[in-house]
Amino acid sequence: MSKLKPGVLGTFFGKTGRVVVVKWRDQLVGRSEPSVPTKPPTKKQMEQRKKFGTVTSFLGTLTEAINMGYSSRSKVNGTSAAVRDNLKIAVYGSYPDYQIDYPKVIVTKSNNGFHGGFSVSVESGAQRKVTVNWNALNSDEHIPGTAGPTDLANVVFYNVNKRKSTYCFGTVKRNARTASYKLPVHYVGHEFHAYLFFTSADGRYISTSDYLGKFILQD
Amino acid sequence: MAIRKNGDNFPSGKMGNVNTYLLKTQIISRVIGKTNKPATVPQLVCRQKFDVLGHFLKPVKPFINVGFDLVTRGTKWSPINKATSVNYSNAIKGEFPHQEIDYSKAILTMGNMPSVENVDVQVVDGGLEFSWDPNWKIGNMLSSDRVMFLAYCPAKCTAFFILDGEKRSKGKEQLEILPSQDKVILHTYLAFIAADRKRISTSIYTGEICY
Repeated sequence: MSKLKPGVLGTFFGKTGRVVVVKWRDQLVGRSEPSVPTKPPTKKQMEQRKKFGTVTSFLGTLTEAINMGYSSRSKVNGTSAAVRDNLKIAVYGSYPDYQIDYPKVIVTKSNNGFHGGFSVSVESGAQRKVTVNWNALNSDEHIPGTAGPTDLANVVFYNVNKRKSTYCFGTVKRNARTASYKLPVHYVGHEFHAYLFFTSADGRYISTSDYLGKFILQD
Repeated sequence: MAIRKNGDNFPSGKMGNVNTYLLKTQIISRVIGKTNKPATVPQLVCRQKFDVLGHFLKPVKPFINVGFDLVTRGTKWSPINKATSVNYSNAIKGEFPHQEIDYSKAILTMGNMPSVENVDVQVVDGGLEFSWDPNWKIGNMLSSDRVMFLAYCPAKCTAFFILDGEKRSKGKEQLEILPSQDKVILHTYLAFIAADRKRISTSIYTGEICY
């Protein structure tokens, strides 16, 4: 066991080679790496691992939106925070068949009451055209820190068949109340889930995401 | 390293794990760091109160900045501090761990102008209509006072508000509210502010509405 003090090397934590540096009783301690457990996992462990895997593999396809939506001011990074929230609400089923509950998934989370869309919906039309609708207040004025007409709409389309996401960020303003997008031709016939969230024009504020609905892309 | 700058009578900055700085009118010294001791029950009670208050007050912050501006001007308080303080002791009901906001007791503006009575709130097309008696006046109420409304939606954790609505003499005003997919409960509040923004009434709770 070696004790490190701030010196020319500075302070560091974590694993270097086979040495793990940790803080233990206010001391920095280097110890050898623990061995991989040989005991078989318990049923509870297996359940948790499976659940965790289901959520992380799904959220891994939404990384860009999550990095935008979950602020990284705290010590927990965006993806971890999103996994924590969705693990609680967006999984159903029993071991080993855990499923994602798509309508309950949170892609972005507001921390200050900046509101998202109201009465939101999505429609799939001919020629791979997808229309997203929402409702907004009529006023043209904007109180800083609250929802205003210049906020930008962001839509995430999750392709269930391909397990991939398509992002459409910041092209339409909130007071337009509708936006239409064209998805790639090789996605025709695939099933999609869509999520909508808003960001303020300066990017400081972000709303909690809303589930728009599911649709099948038409040719 | 804390530095005593020219003319200051306190060192500002971090000395050991104590941080010193000037906040409004006070010199604050506080210890930085985390404790490893498990929290006691009174600590958990207090933390939960701040948690529920934070969720309630954040969406209504622009309203509070106006509503608590007059009582906090020139003091050590900021508007959100004062609002948290007032509602901490009044507007929380239930026992730990089931503490929640008592919306009927929450206060969102504070001042010495008398509050109006007999306010009627009704659902109309596109929002809510608030009406009051324009001729009922006591104390320092003026017919030029402006009305302020707020409707708070706990389900969406958001608020709709007007900071300067119609004059008191008009007797009614509408607040635009966006409909949600499902019916939601709205908690409504009303206050009056003088045209010169030098006086304000304490807000009153005008009931909950299913919208």
